Amino acid sequence: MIIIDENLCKGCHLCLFMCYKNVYAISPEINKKGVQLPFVKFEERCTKCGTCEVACPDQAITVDLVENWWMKEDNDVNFNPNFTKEK
Amino acid sequence: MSEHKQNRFLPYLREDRLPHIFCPGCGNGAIINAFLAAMEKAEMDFDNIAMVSGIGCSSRIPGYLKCDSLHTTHGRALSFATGLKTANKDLDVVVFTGDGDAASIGGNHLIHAARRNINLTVICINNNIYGMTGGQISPTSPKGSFGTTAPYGNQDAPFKLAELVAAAGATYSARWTTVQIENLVLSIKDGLKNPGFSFIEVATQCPTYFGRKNKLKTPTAMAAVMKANTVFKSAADRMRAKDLEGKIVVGEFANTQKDEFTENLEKISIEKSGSKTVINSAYESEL
Amino acid sequence: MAEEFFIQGNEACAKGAIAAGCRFFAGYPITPSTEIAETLARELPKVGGSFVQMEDEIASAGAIIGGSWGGAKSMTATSGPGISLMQENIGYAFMTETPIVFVNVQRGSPSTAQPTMAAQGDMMQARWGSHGDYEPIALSPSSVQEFFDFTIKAFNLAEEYRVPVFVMADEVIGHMREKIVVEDNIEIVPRKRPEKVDGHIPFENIENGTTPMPAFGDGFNIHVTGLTHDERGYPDTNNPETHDTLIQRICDKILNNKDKICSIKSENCEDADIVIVSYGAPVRSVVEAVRRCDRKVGYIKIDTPWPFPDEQIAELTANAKDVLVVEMNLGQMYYEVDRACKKNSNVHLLGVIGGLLPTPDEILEKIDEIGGN
Repeated sequence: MIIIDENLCKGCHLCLFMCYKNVYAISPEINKKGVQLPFVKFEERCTKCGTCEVACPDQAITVDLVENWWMKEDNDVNFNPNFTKEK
Repeated sequence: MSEHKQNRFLPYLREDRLPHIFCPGCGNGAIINAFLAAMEKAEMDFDNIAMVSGIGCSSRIPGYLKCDSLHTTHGRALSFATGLKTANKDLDVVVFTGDGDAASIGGNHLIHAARRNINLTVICINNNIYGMTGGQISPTSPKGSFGTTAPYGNQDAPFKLAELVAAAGATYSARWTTVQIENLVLSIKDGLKNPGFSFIEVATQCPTYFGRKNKLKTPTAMAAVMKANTVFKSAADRMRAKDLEGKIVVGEFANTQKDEFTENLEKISIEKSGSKTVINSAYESEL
Repeated sequence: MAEEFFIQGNEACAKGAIAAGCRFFAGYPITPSTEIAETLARELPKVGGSFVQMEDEIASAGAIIGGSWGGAKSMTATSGPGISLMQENIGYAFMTETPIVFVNVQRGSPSTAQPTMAAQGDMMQARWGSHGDYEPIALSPSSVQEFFDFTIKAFNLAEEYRVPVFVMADEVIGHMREKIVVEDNIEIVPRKRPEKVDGHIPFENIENGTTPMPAFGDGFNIHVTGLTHDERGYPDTNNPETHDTLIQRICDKILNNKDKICSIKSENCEDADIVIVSYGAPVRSVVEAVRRCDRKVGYIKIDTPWPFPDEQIAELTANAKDVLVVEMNLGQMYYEVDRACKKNSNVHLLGVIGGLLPTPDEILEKIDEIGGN
């Protein structure tokens, strides 16, 4: 799940530019701060790489990962992001 | 029901001061994130980090981070940091500075800190313009770019900061942009781990002033142009100087090992007094 | 057992700094203060301290402010041109309430002028040099012993009030060799650490104005800025009230303790017709002139030109018809004395520039001139 903090977002739309998978889109509505917020249009495309989280200048994006998100089901390891630590 | 997760960088920030003063689309916020991510990757103790900064947009960053921070006079951040690091060599001192701060008014301090190879990590946020005073050209503004003090285009050649600092004797010097955010994180991590003077120049976008004066009005337009103008160092080494004009060469410019300044001072102290350099001596009633 | 030394003024200053607990020095060579840096470069490593030769005076001033926040008593030594370069960072030190010591071995001025000659031309610069309102403390030694003692006192005052302190020596005192006596029990004031981390307010508006100062790395997570800041240390630049509260507190913590800080020495002032007011090296000639003079002459020696001891001077000159200010400039403290006397006495000036001390004969001549009126 991707959470966008409406109070912190200033509407620069760099998340749209930075996202490798084009997950985001711009909302047509203008909120009370005069900002056209981005919103998550294609969540199914998201690979949870976290680039948007780092690239967001306003700390407004949270990529909410479930614990052990790299596990497919049960103990079937799909990808371990900490693999370099093991060796 | 999963509990509401917080942004991973917010615990490090002084939340009572957010949202910060940076304009929409300013790269400074992303560089805060990159620094914090790098610090996590380097497995450093956040409580042991002390930040020093000068004057300018980028120098406001330490004020938003929940650690000891010294927001100093224009251009002098590196001299304050030299004093701080020398007085307490156990601190991890990080300097946030801008292009006007480090290259113009503080140019002398920059090359001398690099020459001493004092263990500081300097993150120089280069937006090619003076943002806080309203869009004047800086020593790193590309030739031909416009600013309020260059209404007919900048006639001077820009400084190449990463190369300059490498030549001055820094043991780690690199340049990245906010678009290559993953590389930037890894580079800052290397800089933090390097026991010597580490300099990371980050080319960033200033849509409010540089962008507006140079027909790149949105943050995304600036980021796109920056991405298109980026040349990796390995490729740039094989290119002619003429083709490199106006390009941003990214990569590492120095990564060596040399004697460190405060270690040298400690060596002399051990030789002359038999003990390490004293820390927090001002609080002792007897010395 | 007290120890005795026969040393140069600048060496005595360095010795005093180490005795006071100075463990960090950053400086840049400049005549006539260089011997202080040279001595400390040799002596500081022997006590676990650090010496750094910076790239210029601006960097020196910055480094010692950084050093002070790093938890070391810090100082720099320079002369007129150097202190001019340092002014911006001096203002920063006042704004951030950083305890540091500046030694200014004054030389002929303005500009580079006379590097090897004495003067007292920087007295007003010490008061008003940086932009804005602040209240400095300055000490003015008139012998090598006092250069030693006042350097220690400067560190103690700096720590007690969290303020930059100037030691305004001059070339004569800096390069003169005299006997000094170093007592065993030198009183030094250690820095106070705040008691609790939680709920700590770094720039609290407390009654006596001086809050305890944490060092970086102590876990207080303080933000130190030269911008107008609130009690938490966060910038608040557009609120007139915040600025007023802050600057008033920075000034009041010195002004309210003036009676504790100010120090003067006087002789025969009560029934004197003429009172001579002086400070620094010229005091030596004044003492001799008073001794030789057959008229009712007293003198006041100002130890702390800043904050200016108004009340004491007004009191001591109350019965004097004439007041003579002897200094090595064309009249700087003269106006302060004139103001303090509140028109009760005629204030005259013997201002000697050129680098040589005013001689007792010159002072006696001036006394005759005044007496002739």
